[in-house]
Amino acid sequence: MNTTTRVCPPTLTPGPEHAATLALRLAHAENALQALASGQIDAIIDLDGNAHLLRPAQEHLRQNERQLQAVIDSVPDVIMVVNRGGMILSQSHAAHRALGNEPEALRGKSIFEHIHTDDFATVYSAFFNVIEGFHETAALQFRYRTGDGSYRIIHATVAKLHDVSPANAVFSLRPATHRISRHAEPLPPEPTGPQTPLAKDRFLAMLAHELSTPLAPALLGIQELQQDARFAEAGPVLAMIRRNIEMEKRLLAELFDFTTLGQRKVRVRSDWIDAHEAIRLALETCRPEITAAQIQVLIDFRASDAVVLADSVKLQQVMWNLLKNAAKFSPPRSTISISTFNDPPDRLAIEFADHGIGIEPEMLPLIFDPFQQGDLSPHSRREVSSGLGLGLFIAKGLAEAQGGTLTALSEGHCKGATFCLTLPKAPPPSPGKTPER
Amino acid sequence: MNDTLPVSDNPNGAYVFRLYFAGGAPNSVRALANLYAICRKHFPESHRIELIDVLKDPMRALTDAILVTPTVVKLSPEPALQIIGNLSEEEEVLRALGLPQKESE
Repeated sequence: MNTTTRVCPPTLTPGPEHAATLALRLAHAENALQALASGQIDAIIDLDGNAHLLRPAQEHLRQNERQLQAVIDSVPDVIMVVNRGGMILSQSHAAHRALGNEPEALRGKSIFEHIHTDDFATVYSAFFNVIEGFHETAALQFRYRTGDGSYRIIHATVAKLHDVSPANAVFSLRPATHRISRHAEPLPPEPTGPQTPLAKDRFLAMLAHELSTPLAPALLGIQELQQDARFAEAGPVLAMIRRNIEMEKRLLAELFDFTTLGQRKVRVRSDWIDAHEAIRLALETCRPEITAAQIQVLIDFRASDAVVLADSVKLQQVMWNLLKNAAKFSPPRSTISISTFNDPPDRLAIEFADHGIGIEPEMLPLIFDPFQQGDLSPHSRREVSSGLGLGLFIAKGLAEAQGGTLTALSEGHCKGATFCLTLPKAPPPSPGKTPER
Repeated sequence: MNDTLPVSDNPNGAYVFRLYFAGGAPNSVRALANLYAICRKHFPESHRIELIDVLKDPMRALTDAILVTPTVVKLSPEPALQIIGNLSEEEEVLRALGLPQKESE
């Protein structure tokens, strides 16, 4: 059998038996030569301690490298290898496609040069934890300056490169527009027949949620800038940006509520709540709108028992909606009356009456339908007049989810409107049992 | 970089090998795969494989008088011996190790 596996005695260190050592070395060399001849050797170590890869091994490694590079370049995400200091050692082709960065403009530069200064601390801290081995990987979101100088929101992961170079890390960057969901949730089922509206609602709810997620940090960032004296001159612009982000959030929240109501997936808690207290709280929240419209609020709490079974958050949402609507559609210096009474005795009724533009009789049955917009008052401000027309639909849905009702009355155009919210009263405490609140 | 493959901690009677290899070069990869397979098959509970990548630590190879890669050195049990090549001929390797040569299972 023509074997290439060579066996020889163990290595000996030079010593008195010098000749034996030399003989052993010779045997090793002979075995190595035979293995070399049969193509089983990858590298030779010379007497200076350098390892020389043989040509077939070099070619094999080069081919592997090319294949690996092709795989990396075909991934839509941008893959960047950076050293301990954040210097970019290599990057995939997607860097040009997705970020508009020429490879030569990146290599040798610090990845942190491209990250927005506000996001630097977060990104560096995650990078540090990974490169120092405190964390295996980290998921990040930051603003990245692209080749044309604009910023893009990037979802990224950073991981330590194992085995190859312990001090390096690999970033995988994905521009936000390439991906909506950050969660590994299963996709909604394919729309088929009668399930289509449900699938659409689920998609819309998910979309609304995902779209609103990046707004929170943006809003925080704007608030910080507004408090920073260095940006005092940009005050009006920052206020405009903030207003628009807040409006975007509101619209998305409406869309989310609308779709969850459509799926009957609203979860309500039943707590014993003092409705009078809840009304005061809602008034406090809506104070900016009410003050801006120079509206006076008259309160008439006639109900002797105002403890209701409701969800405190959802109840606030309903009241905010009614109060903001009343402020939006009322002329300046008019009044809004809020009154409560126990009629019938097992329920609490809360009336919100304004002296605004009112509702035409033919519109009255439609105002709780989705996507209905009331006439805009000439007095209303531009930024509060826009919306999806979902507010009353959501308010009614939330009221009903809590076992309540929401109805509207109006004597017609310019004759004001009254919205009546009723809620189930909390049952009287049974003898021997004390309610918790 | 030196490394050690998952192994038994039993030092008594354990087979301890040291493989000198050259990164991801084909014979080196094959030698590791073959050595690992032999160990798992013949002494699954009592073996240890130390790995020396000569591309990263060539001086170590020089110090240990290693001329080429892949080279595997059996350090334990005595007697120590050295096998050069990719270990693709299992019977030869087993004979060298003084193990009974099993036919295919």
